[in-house]
Amino acid sequence: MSAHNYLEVKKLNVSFPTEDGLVAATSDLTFSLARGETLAIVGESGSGKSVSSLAIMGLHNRARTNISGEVILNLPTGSLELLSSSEDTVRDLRGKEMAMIFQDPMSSLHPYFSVGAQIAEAWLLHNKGNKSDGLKRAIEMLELVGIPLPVERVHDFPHQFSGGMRQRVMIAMALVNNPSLLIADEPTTALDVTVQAQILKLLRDMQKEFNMAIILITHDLGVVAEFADRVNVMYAGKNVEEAPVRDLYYKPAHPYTLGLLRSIPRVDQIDTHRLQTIPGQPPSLINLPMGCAFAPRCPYKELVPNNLCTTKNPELSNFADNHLTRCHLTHDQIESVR
Amino acid sequence: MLKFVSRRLLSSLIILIVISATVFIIFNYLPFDPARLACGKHCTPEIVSGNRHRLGLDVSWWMQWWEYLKGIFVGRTYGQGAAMFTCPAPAFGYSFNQHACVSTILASALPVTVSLAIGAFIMWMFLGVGLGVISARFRNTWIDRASNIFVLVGTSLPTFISGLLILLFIVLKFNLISPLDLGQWHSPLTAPWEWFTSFFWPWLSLALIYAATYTRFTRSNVIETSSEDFIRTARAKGVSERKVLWKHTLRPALAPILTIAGLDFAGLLGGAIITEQIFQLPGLGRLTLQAALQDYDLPIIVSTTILAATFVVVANLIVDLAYAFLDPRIRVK
Ligand SMILES: Nc1ncnc2c1ncn2[C@@H]1O[C@H](COP(=O)(O)OP(=O)(O)OP(=O)(O)O)[C@@H](O)[C@H]1O
Ligand code: SF4
Ligand SMILES: [Mg+2]
Repeated sequence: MSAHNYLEVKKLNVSFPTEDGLVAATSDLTFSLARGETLAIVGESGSGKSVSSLAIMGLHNRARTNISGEVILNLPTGSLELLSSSEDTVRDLRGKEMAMIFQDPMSSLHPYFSVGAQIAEAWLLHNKGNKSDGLKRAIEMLELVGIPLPVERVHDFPHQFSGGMRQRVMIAMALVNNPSLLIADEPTTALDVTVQAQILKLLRDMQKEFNMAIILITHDLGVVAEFADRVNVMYAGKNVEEAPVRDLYYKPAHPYTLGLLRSIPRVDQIDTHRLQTIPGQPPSLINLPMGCAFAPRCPYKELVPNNLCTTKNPELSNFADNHLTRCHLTHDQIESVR
Repeated sequence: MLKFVSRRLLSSLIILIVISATVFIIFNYLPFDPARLACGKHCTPEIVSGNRHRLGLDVSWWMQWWEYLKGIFVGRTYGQGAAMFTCPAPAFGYSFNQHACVSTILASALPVTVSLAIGAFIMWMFLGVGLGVISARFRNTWIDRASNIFVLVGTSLPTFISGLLILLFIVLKFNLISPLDLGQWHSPLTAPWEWFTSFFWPWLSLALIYAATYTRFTRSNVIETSSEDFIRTARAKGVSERKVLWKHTLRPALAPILTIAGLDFAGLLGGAIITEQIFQLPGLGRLTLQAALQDYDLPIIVSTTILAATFVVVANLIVDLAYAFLDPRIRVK
């Protein structure tokens, strides 16, 4: 991890004490991200994508969440570790240095305030000015994200916008302070396909305009291929593989990623690899099993000697240049099963 | 918005007309005869029919109803010749039992009930909503647990128990109000302190019960709203915890409480029968109880029933308008 990286996440663990036991939603998550770069995080539902990104934003209730590890922002003024910083320090960064947009733009906007008021609030929290300055900024932002008639619509309420327009409003609000990091948690899942494409294009344009780092959380491997520079695959709270997009698609190194890629239908693959979803269920996050969390579903665990898969936790290790994986299989074994 | 208001006004008016007609239909078919009850020991059929005429009961229910409605706007005249007398508008009938226009009787009972309702309302809203917000904010701490005990006790005690306990073990035991002074009406305009002290304990005994319910309701609403996505968005923008609570959480969390509060308040305006009875307050509740169980005083019963219904309908209207003012989703539709 070099210093020119903007965001460095090291051995991040997030767990929730519940009545049934400790839910280990994120364990040992490690990655980094440069300015202007896009990292996609993929993984099935419950794999800890949202929990991890909320931890980076400092949005978990500290009293009800156990968090350890490091989240480092390399700012022009120096490095700052967020988990050990005061709540006030992190709050100051939220909305200014790092911003987040969410899956459901209807429920994520406040139903009682006009979109202008909500964008203006985000601006006024981090800038000096009065309400009308804030509103002026809001109009500029609405225009930038492609909302028609921004001067009139700035006074409208969220329910008066369509789903895609609402997500544009969310983006306008997130970007109003020109943040260096944007976390987009499944920003298009709730939208229909044509709108999805428009929103992704908007995000890409905004990224160019502001030179933002983007963490894009998604289920959609098609979106990843089109949009991201690198991919982080999560399983049961851990990142099991990380690679540049091309490498991940053409030379996947983790059995879980292999399974994921086989589950998407592709015309040229129908003959060689039959369409399949990965059989079995992800493990319970309470009392995670010894060894590899994917072992119960892994078709290749027999290739590893001494039942290592069910007794020893694989570490994140180099598979190739810029390509990390968390698996006991050797390089050659992976090449042969691919 | 204007369309919304006028539509709601119109529907309220229609509801009131229907309710008042229903009241007349019901009392028309009740198995007691006010004309007969108003007839003394030496009753003859002639006296009964004379009474029936004087009471205006010798016409169909809808004529009675019409006369009643008309009386509200133009006043009403009873009897003939030397025995003739008039209740000026708004007239709600004449009580032959108390020998007074119902409007006069209502006018003396209403300030008592309104005083009771307003004071209790203010008390329980402050107590209930305040405690609810605090215990939501400090969830699972000792404050929350203490307030939870209050909720459990408050919601399981019936009003007559809490009222009696307060009367016997606080008010009378410590001689806070002398038994002779109990139920004495003091106007807040001429004797504000006496008014306050005479109502304080009745307020408290009513407010405790309501406050418990409101604490529970407020707490769960605030907690539920805190887990809304838009609250997470506010935090993601960098809004401080204090502002998250006051600006983003409370408005949507308290809006539904407003609805219930309006209706509860209106219900109390119709007369808090039990509390008025315990503290012997001469309000609408006691008036109704006495008219219904002792005197069979139909004009009074009809009027207090319609009045209570009117309060509820008007409160409903006000609550709807306030809600529309608070929640833009309703306003625009
Ligand atoms: N506050 C909490 N208390 C207890 N468990 C939680 C809490 N928040 C999340 N979890 C659990 O942590 C796990 C990871 O959740 P997370 O929301 O990060 O999944 P995700 O990868 O974002 O899934 P999805 O694709 O469905 O959004 C889930 O099993 C979830 O039930
Ligand atoms: S460590 Fe073993 S069980 Fe886990 S993915 Fe690799 S081969 Fe499969
Ligand atoms: Mg999620």
